Amino acid sequence: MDIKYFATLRDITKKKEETLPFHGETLEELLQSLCTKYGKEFQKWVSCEDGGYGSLSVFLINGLDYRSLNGLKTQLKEGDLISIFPPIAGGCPCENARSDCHVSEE
Amino acid sequence: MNGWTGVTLRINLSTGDIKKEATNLKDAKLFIGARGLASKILYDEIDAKIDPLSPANKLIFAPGPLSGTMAPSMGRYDVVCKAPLTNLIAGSNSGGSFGPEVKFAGYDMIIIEGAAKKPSYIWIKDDKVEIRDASAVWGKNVPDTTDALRAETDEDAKVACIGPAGEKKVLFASIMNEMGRAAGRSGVGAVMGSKLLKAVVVVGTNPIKIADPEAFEKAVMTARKKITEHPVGGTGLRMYGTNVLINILNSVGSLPTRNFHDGYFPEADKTGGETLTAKYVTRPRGCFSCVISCGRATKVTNPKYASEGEGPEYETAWGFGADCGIDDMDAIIKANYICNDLGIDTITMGSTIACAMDLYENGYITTKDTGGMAIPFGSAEMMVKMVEMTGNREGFGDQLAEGSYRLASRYGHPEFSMTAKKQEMAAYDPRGVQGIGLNFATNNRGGCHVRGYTISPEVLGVPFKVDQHATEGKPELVITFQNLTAALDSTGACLFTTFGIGADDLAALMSAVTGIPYSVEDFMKAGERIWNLERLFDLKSGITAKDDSLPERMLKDPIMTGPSKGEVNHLDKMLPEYYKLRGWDTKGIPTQEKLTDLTLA
Repeated sequence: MDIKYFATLRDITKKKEETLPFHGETLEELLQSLCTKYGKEFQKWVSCEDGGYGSLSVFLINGLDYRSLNGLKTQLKEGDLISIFPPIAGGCPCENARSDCHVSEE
Repeated sequence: MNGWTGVTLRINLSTGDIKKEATNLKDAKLFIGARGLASKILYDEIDAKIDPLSPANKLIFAPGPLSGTMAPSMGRYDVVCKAPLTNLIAGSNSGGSFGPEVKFAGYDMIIIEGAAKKPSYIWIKDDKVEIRDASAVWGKNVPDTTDALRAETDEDAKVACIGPAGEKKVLFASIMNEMGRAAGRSGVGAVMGSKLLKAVVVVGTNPIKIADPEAFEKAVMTARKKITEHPVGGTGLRMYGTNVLINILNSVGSLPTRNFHDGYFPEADKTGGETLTAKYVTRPRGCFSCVISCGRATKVTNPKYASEGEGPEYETAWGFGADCGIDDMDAIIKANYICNDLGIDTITMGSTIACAMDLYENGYITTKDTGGMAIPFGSAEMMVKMVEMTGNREGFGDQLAEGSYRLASRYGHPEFSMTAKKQEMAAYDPRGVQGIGLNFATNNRGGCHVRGYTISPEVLGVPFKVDQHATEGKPELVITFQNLTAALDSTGACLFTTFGIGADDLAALMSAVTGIPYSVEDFMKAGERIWNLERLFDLKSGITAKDDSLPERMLKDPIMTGPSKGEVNHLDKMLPEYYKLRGWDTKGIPTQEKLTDLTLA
């Protein structure tokens, strides 16, 4: 899978993109492993204070917003392109999120 | 009066008459100020069918009731007139410090009528107003004009002026203030040039009266907190500027590429906000009372294009970049500086050059027409040259100066012009994002993105996420954004405050400042009223429902590559519902019932 990073995430990961081997993960599982790999700074931009992922950033899978797919539970595939935008470029902050946008509840 | 100064300045350049009139409080309550109030004055006072470049047009500089107060990021103003590019109503919005200074000088609006007999400028210091000779600065570019007029008046004066492009009536000439801030679209600069008015120079020393200072302070602190705590307004725009949008729009396959042939530009990252910050930005810049600071002070060191200045913004980096098939960021930034110096709208300029490149590649324009220049997509050097030529109306630039619609029509192919109602669409492909397409098609000033910015929910997910490819729910969404923005613009607030605050916060600020209770309903209704008024002007100027459309390419030719490949815009699925929800008939005309409800009948 190809992962692309934008805005502040480039400074944190020190990369614009990277290729990772596909292990059958969902989007949520991928984010968990990236947070582990890149630590607290990265986690701050992609997850909510209450522990859920996604409400802050825009995640695209092959150019489609994850919220029009299966949300965080979207099953990834070999060869997928995942683009991660922190909320400074868009995305929904936790406190202001409408209840039907707060995907960590799904 | 509170918020408003209560005084409107009226200057007739033909007769030299200078009058101070009482601001109409009844209209101020209904139309708020800035865009709304100035549009009401224009609607009442001019025939919508006049030639915009004739002395019969009026040019109104209009800050809002919040402009000049400590309301955060709310010091903007509008320039309202009939537009030369589109023949519609024009309302060009700008930031900087000019708007607040007009308020400090004691005026809600400056209405400029007639035309001078020789190049002139207006000098305002509080209640002292003079029409002065501008022959010494006529012909000068924007920075030199600004410096020269400040030297002649007051070193702290705020200057709104035109460059050579406005003097030469380039149909999309802008009015610049603080050198790098633009009342950009629709050719308001050409109207100023047609009046032989080079500049308006202002110094003001009066405070603005606040009705309820305690409530105001509370509302300001609440708004400030919400704006600065929001990731986009609070962090992102300061770090990366608006150009951060390049990679997002490209990643969803909706970055119009090569005159909207495609929606995906593989080289986009070279022209994005990350690249701009890494290589060109020297520091962020903010306007009066701004807590966001999205402005970019930048510098190009490449000797080929070495210069410095402000910008580029997203639409500019797109217009001279992906839309022209160009990935040379040095050239793109240089083109932006030239536009600032000569006083040209960057969106129309970029899109017009892209149109010329498209016509050239298809053999409808040849090197004979361009004076020997080969101008295929991607030719960065030629793009920069064409901007310079357009601002000075030299050679082929004289044709480009008419905008893409007239250019493409001249060569027999108006369908190559990517415009709605003759104003070029901005950097969002309507085939990839359905709602913004409906906004372009129905917008009162033609291809405008800001006055109905549904990109926020459709792509960014702010304040909530909707599917960019869906048509359901889009008419209602577009209408809400159009109405809210009309009301917001009219207060003097910056659109970027909406990454944090909403109608309720703006209503609270308006109530505290003016002493007139505005509820959220009042506020949104004012916005709807202003929108309908602008529509009435446009209908009187001669548009019909036929003009509520998009270029054929957007309806028939699918995006060729990228994540939105295969999509077209489905305007026919959205427009009828849009008319219905607006309370208009099937011809797009507001019904008597709707006008009565809005106090417009």
